[in-house]
Amino acid sequence: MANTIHADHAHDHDHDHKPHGLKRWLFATNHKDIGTMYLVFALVMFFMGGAMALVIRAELFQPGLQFVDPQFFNSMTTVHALLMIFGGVMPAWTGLANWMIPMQVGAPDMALPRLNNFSFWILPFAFTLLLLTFVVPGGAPAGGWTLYPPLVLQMGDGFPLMIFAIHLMGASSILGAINVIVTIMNMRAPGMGLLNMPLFCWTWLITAYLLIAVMPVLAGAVTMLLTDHFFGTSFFSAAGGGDPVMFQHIFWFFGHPEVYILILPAFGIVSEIIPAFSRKPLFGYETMVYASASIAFLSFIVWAHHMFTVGMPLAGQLFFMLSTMLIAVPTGVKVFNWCATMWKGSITFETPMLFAIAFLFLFTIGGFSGLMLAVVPADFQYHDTYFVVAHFHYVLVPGAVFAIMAGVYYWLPKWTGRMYDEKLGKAHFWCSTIGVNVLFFPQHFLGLAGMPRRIPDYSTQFADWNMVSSVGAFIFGFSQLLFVAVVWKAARSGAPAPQRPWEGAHGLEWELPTPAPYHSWETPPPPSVIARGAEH
Amino acid sequence: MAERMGSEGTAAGQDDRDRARRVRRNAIVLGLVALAFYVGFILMAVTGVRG
Ligand code: HEM
Ligand SMILES: [Cu+2]
Repeated sequence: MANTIHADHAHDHDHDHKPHGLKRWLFATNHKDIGTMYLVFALVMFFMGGAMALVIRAELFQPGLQFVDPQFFNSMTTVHALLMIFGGVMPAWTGLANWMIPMQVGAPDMALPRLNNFSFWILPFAFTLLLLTFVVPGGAPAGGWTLYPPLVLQMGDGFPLMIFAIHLMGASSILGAINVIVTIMNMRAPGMGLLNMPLFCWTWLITAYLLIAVMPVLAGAVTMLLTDHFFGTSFFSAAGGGDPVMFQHIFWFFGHPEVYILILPAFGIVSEIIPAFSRKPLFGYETMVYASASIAFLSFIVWAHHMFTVGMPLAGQLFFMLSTMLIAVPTGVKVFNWCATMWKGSITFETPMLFAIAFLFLFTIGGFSGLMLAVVPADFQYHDTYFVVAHFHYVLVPGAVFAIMAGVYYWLPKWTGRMYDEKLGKAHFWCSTIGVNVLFFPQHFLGLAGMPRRIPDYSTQFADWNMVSSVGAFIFGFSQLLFVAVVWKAARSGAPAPQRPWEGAHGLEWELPTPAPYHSWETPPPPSVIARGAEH
Repeated sequence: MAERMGSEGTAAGQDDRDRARRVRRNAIVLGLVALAFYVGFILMAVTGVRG
């Protein structure tokens, strides 16, 4: 709201004045400061979740029990997923949204800056609570990130901590989503129509609607778990007339849109980077918008593909199989458009483009394995095997995570005013890309051969590919130290960046000086600038 | 921004106030939608809609 934006400036007319020290961060209302905090928080979570993944892969390097006991192993898989999804990918997207949306729509800041502060500061509390479960009797959650009852109800004293943590994460996401929608709907510069917005704003707008629809559903599900545990209800207990399968329906009604929450902003970023480095406008801008909207809509009617094996009527199986396959159509439109954008472009391969191209190939592999999983009789075989693990890691790591890194490399010069070291960036790219494939490709083979997911030990015929996968995991994990080194070095001592470091880049953010001023567009950009910026 | 701050009572000030009102209204509506999904799914479970 306009008067809140101005509130902390009521007493001074020096508009680039920033508060200093701890206060700047604790009471931050500036979209860039909050964006930075989100991104740093996400990075910390990526490293903590990554450390847990390395514990998993160390244990699975060989058959037999080597390092951790099975209960702790199960906590590792569960908390790894919760940290990566709710602490890593989602806050990274919110951080990028905070940084970029005001700059891209011609606004000075987000519409609700104090709410913005609140939604960020909820997160450190939420994850502290979640991590506290490691030190209470009974230990951390270990029943899988999907929290299925009755298993999840067997948790020890950490149970209410975990439920509260999930509530807080949900509240934070909902508030963040409200802020994004309200900003895009009310803060666009005059003349900036919805269909002039860069695709990152579009895909985030759609993501925000998904968040508002499904985070409350997750909150409802965990509330019911809580009352089942403490207040004698039996929503999910057959003994009391409830139904444990109902939890799965509710969870996946949240869960499938959630996976699109994790990937839609990635589609937006890739749709900006590929045209920039192909020096061509994006092929099919409007179809990209409609494809994103169709994907979002369809994501509400496919949830039971996660539970084919619980038993459902044939009509249900057919419906969910076909609706799932339908998602491949708008997804295919997107992949086609990205390829068509590159077609006959004069492409250069700077680090952001390398990550975007890797995204294109590797995300598509994940899409194909998803299609295989959508085939009901095939899923009866693959369900709960490493094939599923391979599928979702392809869409999430070289999918969502690569797109986050592409975005950081792409916009870092605008944020810091400095260029990153291209050689180091490329080194980071190649180590990551090789590492991620060595890590996850063999998991397809393991799954097809029948290795179940979420186990600390396995029979010896799975030994070879597990060893390969673990080697890949360590390559990938340690390569991310390079990422930190590149960003750190750029921010400290990178060469000064020009206003538009990428000659093919369009979008209002590149019309601002470099580094971008503290308040992005204090006066809305004039129509000529909007027209230049919106030339997709 | 300074120019907008000094413009209470002018046409631009009116625009800002209108926008502030719109922003607040949109945020409240979206919050209520979220709340409705939360309560709605719990009610659905209470009333026993299940497969
Ligand atoms: C063409 C698009 C896609 C199709 C057809 C598809 C299909 C499926 C199916 C059928 C399953 C259930 C497998 C089983 O448990 O037996 C599944 C699991 C999963 N998918 Fe996808 N998927 C697609 C895209 C995505 C995307 C874009 C993401 C995330 C960015 C994603 C994330 C996941 C996750 C996290 C799981 C596993 C959840 C769990 O059980 O822990 N998928 N997918
Ligand atoms: Cu799904």
